[in-house]
Amino acid sequence: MSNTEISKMNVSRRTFLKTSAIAAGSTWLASSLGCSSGASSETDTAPVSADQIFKGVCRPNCFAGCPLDVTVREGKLVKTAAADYPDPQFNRICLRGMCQVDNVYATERVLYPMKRAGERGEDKWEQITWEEAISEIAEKWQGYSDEFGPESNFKYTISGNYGVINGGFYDTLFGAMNFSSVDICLDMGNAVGFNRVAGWAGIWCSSEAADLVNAKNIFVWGNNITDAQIHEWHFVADAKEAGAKLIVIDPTFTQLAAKADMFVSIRPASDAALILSMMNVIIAEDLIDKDYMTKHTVAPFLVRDDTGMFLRMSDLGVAPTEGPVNPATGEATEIDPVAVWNPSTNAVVVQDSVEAPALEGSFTANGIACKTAFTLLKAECDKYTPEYASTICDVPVEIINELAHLAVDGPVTHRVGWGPQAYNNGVHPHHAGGAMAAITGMMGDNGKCYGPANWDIFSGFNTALTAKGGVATSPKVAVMELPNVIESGTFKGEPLVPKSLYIYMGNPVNTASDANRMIEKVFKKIEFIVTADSVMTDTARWSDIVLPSAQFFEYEDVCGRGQDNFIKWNQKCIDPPGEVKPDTEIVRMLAEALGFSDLFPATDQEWLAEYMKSDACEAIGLSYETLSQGVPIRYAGEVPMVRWRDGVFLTASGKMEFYVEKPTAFLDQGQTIDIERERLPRFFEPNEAWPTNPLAAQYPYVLMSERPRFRVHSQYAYNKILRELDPEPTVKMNPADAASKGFENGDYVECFNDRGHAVAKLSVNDAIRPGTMVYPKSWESKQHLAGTWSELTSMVYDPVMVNQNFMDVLVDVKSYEGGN
Amino acid sequence: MTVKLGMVIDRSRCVACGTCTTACKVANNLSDDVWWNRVVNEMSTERDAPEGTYPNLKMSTHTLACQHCENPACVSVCPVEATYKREEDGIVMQDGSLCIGCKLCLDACPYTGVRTFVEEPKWHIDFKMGDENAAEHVAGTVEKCTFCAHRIDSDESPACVKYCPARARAFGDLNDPESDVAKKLASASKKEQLKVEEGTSPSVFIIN
Repeated sequence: MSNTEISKMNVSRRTFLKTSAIAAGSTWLASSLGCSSGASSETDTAPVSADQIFKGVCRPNCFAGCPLDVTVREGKLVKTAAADYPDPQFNRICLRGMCQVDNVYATERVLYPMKRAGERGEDKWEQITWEEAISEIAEKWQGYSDEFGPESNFKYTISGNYGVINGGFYDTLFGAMNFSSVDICLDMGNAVGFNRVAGWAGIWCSSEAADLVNAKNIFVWGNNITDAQIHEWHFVADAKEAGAKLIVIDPTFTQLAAKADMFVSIRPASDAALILSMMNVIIAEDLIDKDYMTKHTVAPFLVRDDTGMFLRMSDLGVAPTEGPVNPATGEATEIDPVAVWNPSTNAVVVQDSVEAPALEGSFTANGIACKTAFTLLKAECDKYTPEYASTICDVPVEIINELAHLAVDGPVTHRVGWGPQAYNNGVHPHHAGGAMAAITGMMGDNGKCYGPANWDIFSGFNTALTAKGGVATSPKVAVMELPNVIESGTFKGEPLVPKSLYIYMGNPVNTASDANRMIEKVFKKIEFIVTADSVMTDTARWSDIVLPSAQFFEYEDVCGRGQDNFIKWNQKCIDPPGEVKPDTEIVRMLAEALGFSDLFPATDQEWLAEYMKSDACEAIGLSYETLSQGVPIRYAGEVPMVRWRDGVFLTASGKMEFYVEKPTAFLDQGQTIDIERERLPRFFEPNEAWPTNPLAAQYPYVLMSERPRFRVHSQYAYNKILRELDPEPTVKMNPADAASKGFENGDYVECFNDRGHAVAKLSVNDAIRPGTMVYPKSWESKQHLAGTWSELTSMVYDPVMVNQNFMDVLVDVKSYEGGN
Repeated sequence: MTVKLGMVIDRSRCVACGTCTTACKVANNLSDDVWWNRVVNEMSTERDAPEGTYPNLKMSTHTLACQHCENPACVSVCPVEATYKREEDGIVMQDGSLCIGCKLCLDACPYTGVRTFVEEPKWHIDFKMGDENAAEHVAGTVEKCTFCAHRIDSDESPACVKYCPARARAFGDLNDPESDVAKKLASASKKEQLKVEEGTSPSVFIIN
């Protein structure tokens, strides 16, 4: 039926009685036909609506995971809109959540299993049956496993679906088969840098945004909240209305910057130097919070000059005592406290035994020369006078001084984004930020926090369920190392021959670094590649078999991650189109072919019910029965959730460890790390995007990406409504730079470097810092006139952070003259 | 006192995200390339581009749709009374069944771009999307924002107000001092109606 054939609706006053799919029977199969239900009440004046409202969740990885009311009419999804939270301050949606219908009915959906008919990457396909697809995949996997070991089969998954069951099912199968995995190495600078100071409470953790209203000064570091996390902007706006001062530190003048009381333009990749300099001022003017430092940080801990390790009581001849048994190892722990200096007796004493240990100084104890951890931090900060830091960051001296004073005028919240860490030096801005929060005492109370957008996973699910068939012990290979492993046939000195790759919830050809290297060294080399996706992505096009997997609203799932600290239910709202199947069905078929059927229950609902059975689930009233009432269930206690309120951190010492005794790499790839560099926050130049890099003469522009409001990574690529608003790839440039190149607004330009190129329409825009270019990320390659953005990025990585450095990129740009 | 429906858009909260424009498009099942509500960058015709020289910049935005004027320029020029003011609440309506597509209203309206002449509405999805009771789209007629009349008549807020994630919009009876819209207007540090010099007296206020 076309729109014009639909009979004209009566728009006079009346009440529509919409059928709730939950009330209609509380089963996920309630009706995907969506016919009006006789069960609904009806009055003589109000016609019964044919609409059914299901509960859904917006599940791409923008970090939000917003609950949706999903309207189904005559078996078709016709609208997605915001569903209410039990606490209305969380209610939200964005333009992307409003037009999910287009993702379901997008023209690029994969509707049946397909097998490559031409060369790999040629995008020629033949339709095959599910039986053919499953039998070929199972046969290949089994063959590789038998000949090259189970570790020759690799899985590769990123994000794009916030449900628990599809990932859960795959984890079970791949655990049982002992697949190797590709580690995606995304945005680890925040995690490594800050969590080494505060401990690992989650990959990206801070107080929730509802706490911003309690802050007096809010620093936002490289976080484009108004585009990338629209759903949290209102918390910032509320805080501003309550009197908070908003300070935005960013190379780009974002919509958020336009709302700020103070916009501080900073040279990309220099945030660590600015923070070290702010600490320089704070320390020089004695604005530190000595009480907080003494109680909750390692500031007074003595550090040995010779080893760089904390001076422990055992170094002074005091034997360690036996601590409680570690439940993980079953072995008794050893308690060997750190020594601090008691200035009133001029002697070392055990930590936390005196009220005012020395925060600063050099001492000798038992013949061992030591300094306090704070003295070491201070020595590092001393190097970054505002005058010197100003030359690094391109921030005026007086602004650095002003920022330092604002940072001690609490409560202060530092909200950090993923910009400062997108360079090869990206651990250190967050190590420095954690240190600054520690010495200013701006942690663990209302309005006092340092951290990224809080992104959390409810940890109380019955996750043992996914390990039913065993946990994989095969290698975890960083995506940047994958080409080397394939080329050398070794990993960490041991043989490893990747033969197959199974990709689900991911589009690495589009989103991962150095697309040309990825294609040449991975996608042209691995013998057998399968991609399961709902859309024909760049990655699917480089596969041998493409499996059509269901979209969010086509199967039932539960979502327990995101920024809201709620668990939400996603009903099955409609049937999948064509021959599309949910990932759970795909796993079941693979499991049956491979002899693992017994690991999976007959229905998804059984699994979901079991997954929500645990003490932690019970404690928050979470069960299948309660969640399927349709109201999101909170797991983080009262609002606002404030991190570290008890002042106990998840570090070895329980304190904020701005001095890191034993720094480690995020992921062991057999690399060596510079221990001494990692012990304190440092500034060092990034790998590529820096003016003194000789390469800058050839490629003068730092190329930064942004996460625009018109897509999430490569998702929504073919969403027609969003493409009306944002039809083609664009790149932004400052007018002065554009003029120097002779470009006009709207010209097609080609950004290029030694790794590749990308063509986009030029937006001449004063928001862009001279010397930089900014592009909205992740257009599919066929949407570019030539090249793709990911061709320009690099796989070089820092051995500690082990991260894809998406902005550590230099390019030049020229007018596009045509061609591929 | 008569009901006078109006809207407030808070410039200090609007971040040009486009959720309201998309909500409007979806709720009203607007045909391809038709938008009744759009984001206006007050500083530049370029999206997200500020005024000034880096880094001394400023940028502000609001959204623009039919202003539902007290004295609408469109109503008096309509030869067939397809454009009319609803007596009960002051909404300016456009009746697709009467409109002859002469576009006189389009020329008369001082608010450029708020109405669209739709020659032949086309959709990229071949079934009706959006609100069940959204008005029909008729070929060869002029369309515009109705303040989501179909939603108001079902006691719901206009889609752009209901779904604004910034809480930048308020809607209600301007004549009722207890309404959200009146309260927000009363507490605004500054308020502005677009193109007051035209004498149209819009029911949409841009505040702060």
